[in-house]
Amino acid sequence: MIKLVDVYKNYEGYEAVRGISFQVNEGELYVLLGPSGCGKSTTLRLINRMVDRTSGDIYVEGEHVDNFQVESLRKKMGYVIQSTGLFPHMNVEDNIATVPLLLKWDAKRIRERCKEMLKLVGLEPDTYAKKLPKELSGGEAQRVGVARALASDPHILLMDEPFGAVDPISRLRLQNEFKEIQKKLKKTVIFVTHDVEEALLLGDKICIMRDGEIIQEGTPEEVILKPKDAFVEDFFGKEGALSLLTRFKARDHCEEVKMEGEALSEDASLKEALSEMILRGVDRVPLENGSLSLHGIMEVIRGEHQ
Amino acid sequence: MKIVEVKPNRIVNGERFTAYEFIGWPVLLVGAGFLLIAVLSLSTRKMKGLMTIVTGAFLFTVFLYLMGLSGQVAASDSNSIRVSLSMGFYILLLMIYLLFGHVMAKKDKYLTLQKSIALLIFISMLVFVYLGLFDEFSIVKEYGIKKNQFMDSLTTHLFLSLGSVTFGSLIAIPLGYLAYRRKKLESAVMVPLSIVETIPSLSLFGILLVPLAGLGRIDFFRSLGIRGIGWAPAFVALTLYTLLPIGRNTLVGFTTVERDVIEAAQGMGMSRKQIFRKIEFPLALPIIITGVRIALVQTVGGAVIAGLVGGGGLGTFVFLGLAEASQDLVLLGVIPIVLLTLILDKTLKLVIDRIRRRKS
Repeated sequence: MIKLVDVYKNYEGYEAVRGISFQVNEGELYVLLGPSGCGKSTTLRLINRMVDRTSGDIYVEGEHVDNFQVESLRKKMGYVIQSTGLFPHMNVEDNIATVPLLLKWDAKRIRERCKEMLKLVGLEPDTYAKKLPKELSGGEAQRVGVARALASDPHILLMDEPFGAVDPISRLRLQNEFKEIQKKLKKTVIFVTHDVEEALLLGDKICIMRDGEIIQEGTPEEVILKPKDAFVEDFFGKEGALSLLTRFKARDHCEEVKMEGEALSEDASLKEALSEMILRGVDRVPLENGSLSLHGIMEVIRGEHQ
Repeated sequence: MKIVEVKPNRIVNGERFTAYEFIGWPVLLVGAGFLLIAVLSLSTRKMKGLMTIVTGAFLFTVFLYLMGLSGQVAASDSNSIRVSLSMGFYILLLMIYLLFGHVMAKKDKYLTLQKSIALLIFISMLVFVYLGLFDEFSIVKEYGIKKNQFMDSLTTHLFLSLGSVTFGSLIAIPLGYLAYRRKKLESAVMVPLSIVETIPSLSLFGILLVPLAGLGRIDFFRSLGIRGIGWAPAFVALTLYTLLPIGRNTLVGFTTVERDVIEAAQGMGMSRKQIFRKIEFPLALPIIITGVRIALVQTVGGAVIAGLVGGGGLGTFVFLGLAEASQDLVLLGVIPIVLLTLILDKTLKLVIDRIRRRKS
């Protein structure tokens, strides 16, 4: 779907991206992860030609990016940035309508699409459609940002630290909701972040970058359990392994052992279940239908190691 | 305080009168009325503001009417007698203004009503003038003499100020945008504009005299009336003065559009032209119009200097009045300028509000 071959980007004497190659398959959420200044944002912006590469080739849907007119290339991809970039003089509805309007959809279709998009990101259309960006909270504004990027139903979504400027509680909720949306829509997403937890929670594949180069690429399990070098190991830290548990839902590992006590939500992750066990000082916590044991969590880990 | 001066003719100094001497006992009633307002201000009733305005407007109108009547009486002896307004009257005017301003500064549900009542004072004043009540007052007399010239001057004045602002906008808005798009050109564009702004208007006329006189020798320009003196140098000078406020505000307006917003627009596939039309320009517009407003206010006042170089306009009266030591002739030029400034300022403020509101 998206393929980079030996791509370089030089800024007058400074190499931001040095010979990067990777491939993102259809419906995959591909995370570019690394410390700030590692070139991950630049890499993302090379794909929609917001930044022009110095050398190398980039293909989108099998076509070389140079073969597209730059505007039509960008219209094929939803683009979400950290600061949302919502247009302050347009209300929420008009913001979402931006790309459909550029693509000359008819008015009725645009209006319906806006409603649909607001519902998708969990905002009530009647309440929010006519609001101005400045009347939204950080989390709401970012939801609108996502809705705007998805409005024209692009196959590809480029996201540059989309949840970075949101407070931690809203961020977690946004991440979980976005994961649900992605499960439903199956977009091809390239997602830039420096947040390890976010990468592990959302990514189908994670690409760890440093100084403009790719250090390691693989599934979350691979990069955590088989780090290629000390940098990757340090980057995830000793707790990185724990974060791997965020990828699994308690629901999927429920045992049919009935248990009394306050039940944990089935949507909780294994990491939350584990910390609940630590807090309560037990090795089994009740769920709505059954319970989850420490042994069960270890089984999951063992499975990952094989 | 002396409110009027009765002169035997236009130039000679006359005798000054206080309100009581001039109008007689009815003025005491008006004074008592204002005392009532002062007492009223101690109350805490909701309608206080509205009542103050209504009584104030009523009393002031009555006062004007009484003054008009007394003026007619005082001037009945001879045709050449003129009644001039003195310091006391202007202070009274200022006090009324302060009173109304004070009341209207408070947000009040009757605010619109209060404003329209205040406006009624103006209207009744115009009606009095129209009915000939103030015919013996020298401003009106001056107007009566110069009626034709007055309308001419007013039109010229409007043409000079509105024309030069329009012309200036056509030049300065593109210049401001250029300075925004090409950072390297910013000082190359802005510095000359600032320099022009610092040249005193009289010297600017001197500078313009030669090239415009030269242009005037060409038939085409001569037929337009372009000469070294007259409306052309005034127009050019006023236009030059509008460039800085409009150009600077255009630059600021575009600069305040956030980088992220433009980047998001690019990222969504908007072309350069679409970004300008849909994002940058609408966001910069209120600030650009604010620049136009500043330029307009400055130009309406500044256009007075056109009177110096034979360019016409209300400045003619001002300079003629100064030359003849006739205060009322000066006022005949100044009062319309003040009113014009206020009206244009208010109108553009409303336009800016409209644009801002449409966004919310």
